[in-house]
Amino acid sequence: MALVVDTEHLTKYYGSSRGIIDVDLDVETGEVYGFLGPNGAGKTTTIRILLDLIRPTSGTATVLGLDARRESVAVRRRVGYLPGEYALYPRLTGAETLRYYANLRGGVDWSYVEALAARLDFDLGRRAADLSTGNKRKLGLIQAFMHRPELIILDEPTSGLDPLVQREFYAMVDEARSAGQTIFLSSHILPEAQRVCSRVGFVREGRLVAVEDVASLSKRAVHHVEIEFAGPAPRDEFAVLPGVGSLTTTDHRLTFTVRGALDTVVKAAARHEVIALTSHEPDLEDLFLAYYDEGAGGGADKSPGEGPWRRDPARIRDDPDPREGSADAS
Amino acid sequence: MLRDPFLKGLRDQRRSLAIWAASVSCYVVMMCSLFPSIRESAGDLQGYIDSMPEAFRKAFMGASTDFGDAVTYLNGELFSFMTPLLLIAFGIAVAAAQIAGEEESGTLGLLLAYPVSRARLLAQKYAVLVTGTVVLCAAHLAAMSVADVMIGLGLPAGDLVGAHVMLLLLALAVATVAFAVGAATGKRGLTIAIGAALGVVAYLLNIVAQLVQSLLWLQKLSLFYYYGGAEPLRLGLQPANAVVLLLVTAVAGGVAWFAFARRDVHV
Repeated sequence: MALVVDTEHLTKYYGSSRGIIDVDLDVETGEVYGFLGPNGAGKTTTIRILLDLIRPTSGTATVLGLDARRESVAVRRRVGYLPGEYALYPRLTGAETLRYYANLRGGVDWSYVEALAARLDFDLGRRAADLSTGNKRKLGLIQAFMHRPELIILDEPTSGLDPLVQREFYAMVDEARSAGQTIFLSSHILPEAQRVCSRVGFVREGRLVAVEDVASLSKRAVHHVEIEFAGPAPRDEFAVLPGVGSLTTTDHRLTFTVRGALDTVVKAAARHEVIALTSHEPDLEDLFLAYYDEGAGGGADKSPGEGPWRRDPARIRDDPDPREGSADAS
Repeated sequence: MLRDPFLKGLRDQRRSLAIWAASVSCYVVMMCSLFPSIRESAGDLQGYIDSMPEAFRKAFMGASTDFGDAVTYLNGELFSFMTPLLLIAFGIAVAAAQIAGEEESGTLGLLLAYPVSRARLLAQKYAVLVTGTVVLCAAHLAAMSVADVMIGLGLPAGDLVGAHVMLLLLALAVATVAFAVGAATGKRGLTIAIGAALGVVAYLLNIVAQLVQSLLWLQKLSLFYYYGGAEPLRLGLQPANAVVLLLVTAVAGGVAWFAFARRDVHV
């Protein structure tokens, strides 16, 4: 597939302080690529180089087949961009602001702007000075989408949006992907990336440390399994199964992790009287933290989700995930 | 008015420009209308003026010391200090509001994510500065022409226009240096500080150089000297000096373009 974003050894130093180091990005046509990492990892730096707002210290960046530096105006014509931080012209209304931006693009289909405003519940008539953070964000999203660009670059798109608007935003991303547009978004909110992205890259201290398919990540994901037996927990039977680790027993209860498919585990359990069986997949947050854990010197075998970064088990998901409760994963 | 950065820039300036133009015009008409009464007491003033040291008199008033003459009077009251001060202040304020102002308020990053090249944006922003300064200069000229007719000052039309051309070139030279600082650094405070410092130094240099005979050569380093010092309205258009002011403007503009095209833009 053709690459929409292609960087090679992209490096940026601000004076002597690190921006990004040797970032090799490859974003394919039509995918939703999540650029993940904590604040300060270098996500915004990378994005700003793609738009020629800042210049790399070394390395090259190609966007839509064009040199991000020399052919930047042509790149920007075909890209929509939502910055992580930006200000609006305080005296202009939402409509005036968007008219101005539309004019800089040589005009856009205004009925589409109005449709976007309606679905995000954004009041075009209010002056930017009177807009809340969330509404400023909405205006930013509208201007990024309004010309139906081939590539939409979004820096922390949902920060400041309330959950309802977030959901609408996810729908917009899904539709954009269906329409063949490519989306490159940065985030430090992992469930969000899991919800919308097809591929994710993890950035850590300026380096792209891993790129993963969200779907294949799930396939070889580590499951957390808990089985409650009628009789005593048959610990030894499970301990020898391939992929099983972090085994703990309490009376009739067995908890462990499984790498890969659950088939052998389910068949082993079937030989006993089972009261309850629960399993859940770790979300990206676990995987993400596992990467960081390794990077920080932790053991590679360490179960994701353990350690000081253990995610909050009470965290509520706002959409039912089909992979949830996947005891029947075989 | 929101078609491009140039028209939007004018739209942003329209209120302040109108106020500036009205204020400057009123001031000019007021100063001109005081002239008839000054002329009546010119004889009394003359003794006082003649008692000043010659170098001092020349520095502040130029060659002519006859306050009964409208040209001398207007040079002293307006062109030697107040008018260039106002024009330069306006120019620096507008210059600071362009690249640096937009950058500091946080709108430049998004603007440059649109298909507008840095050179084009810079040119359009600079055009806002030039347009504003021309309008203010024209308002000054218009007010003075009206006053001339109303009060019967008998100003030579050619020198009147020529002095305004020199005024415009002086203001633009200083404002363009300020604009270049803003384009190169993105810092509004620094833009204003350097612009103001340049204006003040240029003015003082021209005065001091005339007061101290051995420092007369310093005059040549002052933009005020090329503008016409204390007597622009008597000198009118000075082509060679105009070229010097234009050169300063062109070099500053080139620096602005060179620096802005190459640097990182802040958020």
